[in-house]
Amino acid sequence: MGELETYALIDFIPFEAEAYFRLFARQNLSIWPSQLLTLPLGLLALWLAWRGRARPLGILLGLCWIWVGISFHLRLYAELSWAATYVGWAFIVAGLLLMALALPIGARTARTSGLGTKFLGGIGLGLSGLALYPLMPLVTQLSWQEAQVFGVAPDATTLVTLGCLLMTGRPTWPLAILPLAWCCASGATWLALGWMPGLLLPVGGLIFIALALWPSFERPAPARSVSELEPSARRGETCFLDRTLTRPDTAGARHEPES
Amino acid sequence: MDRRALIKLIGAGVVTATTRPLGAAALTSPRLIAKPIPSTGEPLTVIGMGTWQTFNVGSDQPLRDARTSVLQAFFAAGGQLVDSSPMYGSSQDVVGDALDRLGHPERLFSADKVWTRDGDETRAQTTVSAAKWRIGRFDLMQIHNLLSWEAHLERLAEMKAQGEVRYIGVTTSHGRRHLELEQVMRGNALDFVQLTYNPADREVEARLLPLAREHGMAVIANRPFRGGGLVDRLQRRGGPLPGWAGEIGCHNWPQLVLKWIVSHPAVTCAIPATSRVDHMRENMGAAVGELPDEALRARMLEAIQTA
Repeated sequence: MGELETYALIDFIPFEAEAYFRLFARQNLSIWPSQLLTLPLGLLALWLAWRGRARPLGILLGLCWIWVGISFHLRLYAELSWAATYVGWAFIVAGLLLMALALPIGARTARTSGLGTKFLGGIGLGLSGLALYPLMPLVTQLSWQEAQVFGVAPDATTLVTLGCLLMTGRPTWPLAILPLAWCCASGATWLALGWMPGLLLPVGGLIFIALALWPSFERPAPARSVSELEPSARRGETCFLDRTLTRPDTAGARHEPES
Repeated sequence: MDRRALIKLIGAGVVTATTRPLGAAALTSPRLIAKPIPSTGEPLTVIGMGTWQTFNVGSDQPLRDARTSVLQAFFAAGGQLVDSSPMYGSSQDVVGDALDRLGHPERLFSADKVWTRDGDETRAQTTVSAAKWRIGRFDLMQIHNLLSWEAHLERLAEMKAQGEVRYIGVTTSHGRRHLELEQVMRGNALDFVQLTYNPADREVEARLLPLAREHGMAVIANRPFRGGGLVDRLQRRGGPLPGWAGEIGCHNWPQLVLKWIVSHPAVTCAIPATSRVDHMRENMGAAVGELPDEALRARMLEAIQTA
């Protein structure tokens, strides 16, 4: 370890909490009242995830990530930290990935989990991102201007995205890597700045990992002909969030029980 | 008579004054404490200002206004040395904006750092930094955390010889790389060294501070409050100040800590950072009054350590 042992987490954060909170206020003020659209957009994302609408879901989430990368990280956060430039580009890449993996597929993702653990966990994460972050000023010392909103602030956007990925049953890990990386980076920042409500995101990330790895004991599907499978599976296409679902023996599973 | 000459004349008096017991000297106020820079005798107010984290507010205008008020309070209380670095995000820009709005106070002693691995970038980065500060040249240019120090030091020595900077130095922080710093100090002509020194980080007392005195180098003490943790602890659990603190003009724990630091004979200046005007005024209170003698200094340390 050597020299690293002499550093504390705060030594890697080149700004004070006040300046960081102000980024959210400046972001909100600059785009007001478009935040009013983000709640319905977030609900739409959850609905699309529930319905397995991969293409519109990927486009919606991808655009949100690209927007947050440009308008928050590159435009504002980069003023305080050179690392934010790289984070901004990572958000743009994450957005492109969400869109790229969705666009060529265009298939419905099977609603594999029904009301199972993962589905409910995904709903919980998604609603937390949509509702808890904007309402934090009620229970913390934040001002309403500093509220974090889905599609505008990175943490809320990340949590909703993880929720959508989880709702589909078996999240595709390449799509989850960058959101999970932001969970770590953001959690470390909030921890260093001493704002404990900010740990909601890394906790959400841990819940996502735990539920994503949660074993699914799928009931063996009865043997069916290819004609009985979903259109995407018949075409041999892979699904947006769960490539394994295209296998003939599971493609039609809707409500497999989970332990 | 220009400003520099005037300061030097005043400084000559300071050099004499600081050799007395309770070595304190006046600069512009009879009660303001300044110490001479060993290489020239130019006096420097013993409390300066750091900008790490506190001045990194980007283009946020309300926060820039607030930082301008902090800097204004600093100069109003007799402060001189302001220290920054290219590593500190937008701090250089914010300092430059504040200086512009304050009309570039004459008493500013500008200190910045070279922070790049490229040893050929010394002059270029210094020029960029000066543009951000909106000044013609720096009083002091240091090598940040000894990064590529051999190449940078050679360039800085050239720049000093050509009058592009007035003083040169090197920095460390968090008690790191002391062995290397000692080697640099032994083998090179430096005007300043910057290192971490506070009542909880005293390793430098053994070798580096005596070495600085021996080689005639000014010492800037960074992290005087250990990033704020030391003062937070004292104010939370330390209770009231000892009765004798008032004898040396200390009215709160931050002042006691700062005055203890700058009363070390080798220390020229401490650079606490703050984003609050009231804290700035508190800090600058340590630059007023008298410095403790060795016996009182020992009592101060005991009070801080047992609080």
